[in-house]
Amino acid sequence: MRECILVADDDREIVAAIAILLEKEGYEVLKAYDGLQALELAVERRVQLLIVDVMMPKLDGLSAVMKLRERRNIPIIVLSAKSEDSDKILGLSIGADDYVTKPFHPQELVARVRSQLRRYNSLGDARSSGEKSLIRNGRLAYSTEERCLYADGEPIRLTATETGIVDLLMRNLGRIFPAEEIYQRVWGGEAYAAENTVMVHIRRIREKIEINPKEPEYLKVVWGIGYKIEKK
Amino acid sequence: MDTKSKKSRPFFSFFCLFLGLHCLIGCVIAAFYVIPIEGGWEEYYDYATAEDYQETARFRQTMSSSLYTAIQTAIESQNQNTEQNEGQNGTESSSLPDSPNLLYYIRYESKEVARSTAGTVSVTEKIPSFPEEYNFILHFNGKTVTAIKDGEPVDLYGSGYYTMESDWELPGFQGGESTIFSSFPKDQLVRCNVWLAARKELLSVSSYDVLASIQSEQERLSFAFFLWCMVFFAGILLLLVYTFMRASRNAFWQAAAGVTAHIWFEWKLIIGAAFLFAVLTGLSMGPFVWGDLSLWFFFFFVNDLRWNKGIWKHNGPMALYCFLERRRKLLPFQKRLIWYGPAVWIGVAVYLLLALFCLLAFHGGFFIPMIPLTLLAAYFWHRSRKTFCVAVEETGRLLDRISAVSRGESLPPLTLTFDSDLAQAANDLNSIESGIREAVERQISSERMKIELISNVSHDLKTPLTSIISYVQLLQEEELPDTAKGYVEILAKKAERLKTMVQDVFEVSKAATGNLTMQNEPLDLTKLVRQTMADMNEQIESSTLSFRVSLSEEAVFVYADGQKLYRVFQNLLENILRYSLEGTRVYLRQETDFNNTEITLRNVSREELLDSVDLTERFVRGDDSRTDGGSGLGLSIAKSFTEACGGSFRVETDGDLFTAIVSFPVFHAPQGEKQESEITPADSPEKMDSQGGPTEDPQGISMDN
Repeated sequence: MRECILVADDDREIVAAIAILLEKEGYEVLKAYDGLQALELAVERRVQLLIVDVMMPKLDGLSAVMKLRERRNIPIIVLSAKSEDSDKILGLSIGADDYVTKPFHPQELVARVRSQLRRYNSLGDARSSGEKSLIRNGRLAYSTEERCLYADGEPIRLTATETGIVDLLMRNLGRIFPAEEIYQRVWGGEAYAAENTVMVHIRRIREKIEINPKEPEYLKVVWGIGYKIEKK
Repeated sequence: MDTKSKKSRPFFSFFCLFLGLHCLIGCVIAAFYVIPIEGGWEEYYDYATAEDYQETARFRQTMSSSLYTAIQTAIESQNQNTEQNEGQNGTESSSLPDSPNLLYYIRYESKEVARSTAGTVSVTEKIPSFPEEYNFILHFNGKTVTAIKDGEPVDLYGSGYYTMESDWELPGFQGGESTIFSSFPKDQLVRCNVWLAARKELLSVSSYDVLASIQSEQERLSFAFFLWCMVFFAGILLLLVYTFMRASRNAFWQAAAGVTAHIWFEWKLIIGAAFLFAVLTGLSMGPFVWGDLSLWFFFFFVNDLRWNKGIWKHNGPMALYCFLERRRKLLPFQKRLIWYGPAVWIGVAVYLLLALFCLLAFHGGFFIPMIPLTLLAAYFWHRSRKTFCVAVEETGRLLDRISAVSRGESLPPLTLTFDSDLAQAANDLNSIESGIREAVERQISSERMKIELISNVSHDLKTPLTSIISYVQLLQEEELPDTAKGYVEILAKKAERLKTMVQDVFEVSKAATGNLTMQNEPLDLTKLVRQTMADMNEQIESSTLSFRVSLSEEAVFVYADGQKLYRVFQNLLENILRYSLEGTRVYLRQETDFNNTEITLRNVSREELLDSVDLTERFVRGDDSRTDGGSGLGLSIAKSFTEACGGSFRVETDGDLFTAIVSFPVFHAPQGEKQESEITPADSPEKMDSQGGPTEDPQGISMDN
């Protein structure tokens, strides 16, 4: 069965473009052009994911999300031209699962849709929930036994060094490691040009696990201090 | 109309009080001085209210005296007969007046002496009978009197003894000597037979008619009584109206107090004393007028006391003082203050002069007038001291306020006492302050408008840009001829640049208007620069430039927002990569002392740099053609972000040598407190198999290049 996605934005061209891209990916797409219409469709039809713009006539996107959250538990991606951190935090705190700022890359949006749907559908996955050695963190999951990282439930192919870095950071979620420490622990030797070496690997891991490697959500550089995987 | 009626209401309430009180006073005076006739209030009341005139005391007295006259007539006629026989012409005999209201028939022994001519008295067997209209018949048979009214006998004698209170003064009382009838000789009296008949409905004959006068007086009195009652109740009613017109009455008294407040207290005292004197001595106008006037004076005086706080303050000396104060106020501030000195000296001089005068005038007893004089002097001394203290205190407050204003503190307006010498200065200061505050507020609101404009514009730019990027993406996925593919590629690139620019414009505007949200924390600036370089390693490696990096060996901590600082160095490095002459060297150097750390980036520009252009200005670029990939905001963003983080940023050009200098104050962690990020223990319970512990001194993790 094809998964059904509702796209709501008052800009018809944007809705059309997103619809074409998503249909290409094999999803069924419903369109809405204001908040009320979006809310009605999301409640009446079997919608599995909602992409909603914040600024919409009749009912704004955030209110629609709040109202929908009372009845449905589907993933919601909020689109907005506001790029402030406070706007993002507000969007996420009222029940959105993801916040994408305009202008966005269509590919990035599609990737986020895929990620959200995969997580939504694999929530009851027995394999991942039963294991004790599994460290879950948002989209990511790391099995300490297998030394394997999953993103949206898919195993990620990592090199030995990358696995070492991921192992260190996933076991200490949110903790900031200076490059030297990562180097010493992973490579096991005296640090030489640690910053460059570590950064290269960090970038490579990012490209494998992040949806938009330029704006990483998980593997982050803490400027002037070190590196960490954000705890979600 | 409405307002007019509202205005007149207070006066109406006062009118009610005035009229009502006078009504009552008039009633009381009338009750005590005018109305009381003989017999007192009770009789007056009976008299005024009796429906039948025959029930009144006056009627009884009239009948008694008529009987007396009738008997006298009878006896005199007998005597006349005797005297006539003796040839003597007697004096004029008294006789009953002829009135149709009172009929009479008088007999002496069996001989008729007189009968009424005004009415028909028919006599049969020497006993008269009267017409029906005459309902009250009194008969004296020589010994006792019987009366019949409407066929009913009337009790005339009561207990049988004559007292002063008895209205009927008749012969035949036990111990009958007490009445006037005792003056008649007893032997003659028993021979008299008198009938008197009073008419029920009196005829108005003349005002001198015995019975008609009773009735007319009764009518007059009952009218007077009615009038009295009316006036009394009108008075009560008016007072009640006054009592219930609470608001109007207060308004009136308040207004009255407002008027009386202007009168000097001395005048009030004099008038009061005059009234007191007049009332006590009872001047020619009579006690009532004076009493009334003093009553009203008393009213207004008490009212004055009630509404005008400290009414004694409004007096002659005070008026003089106020006048002098007003004159003083007109002088410039300096002269005004100087006035205080002479004023005190004049006061002292006056006091000494008065003391001398007292000493000379009263000799030994001079201290008696000196006591109040000294008290007064002490009072004035105290007052002037207080004024001086207040002036000093207010000067202090004004000075404090001026320095507060200069510090930019926002305080409620300064209020000094109204008549203070510094009041004008305080007002001026307040208006300066409010002017400043207004200007600042206007500036803030215009800033806010600017920010809103920016965020709206950026929103309006971002929405179509989203469409452009999306459709370019769709186009790229279509099967297109090669030329078209090249065009779409250009579109994609330019759309991407536009996106960066819109974001940059937004950021730089926010920074320029001071609206960045900063998350400052202590961080290692050296490490941040290394990380940034590592982050951009690919671009650096792929360029033809060679970097000469000399960074501090030790960690150098600054207190800043890491993300913003990363943007600063990213922009600087991108600038260098974009605008440097190929194959040249780039120098990156850090110099640190105890207080400051300075990072200098030097490169050789590809284009000629113009001295006149400030490169950190928004949208200014080294080349005027603007064909390169930058937004023209790189240095501007670097500058505003550095400054937002508390550092300073400057650019120097020397020929083609371009130098950017970022300097920050070094952050010294308080003693005994290590950097939080470094000492946080691992979240995971199992420790990694590593050589070093998870916690490490930041000093120990410096790099060695």
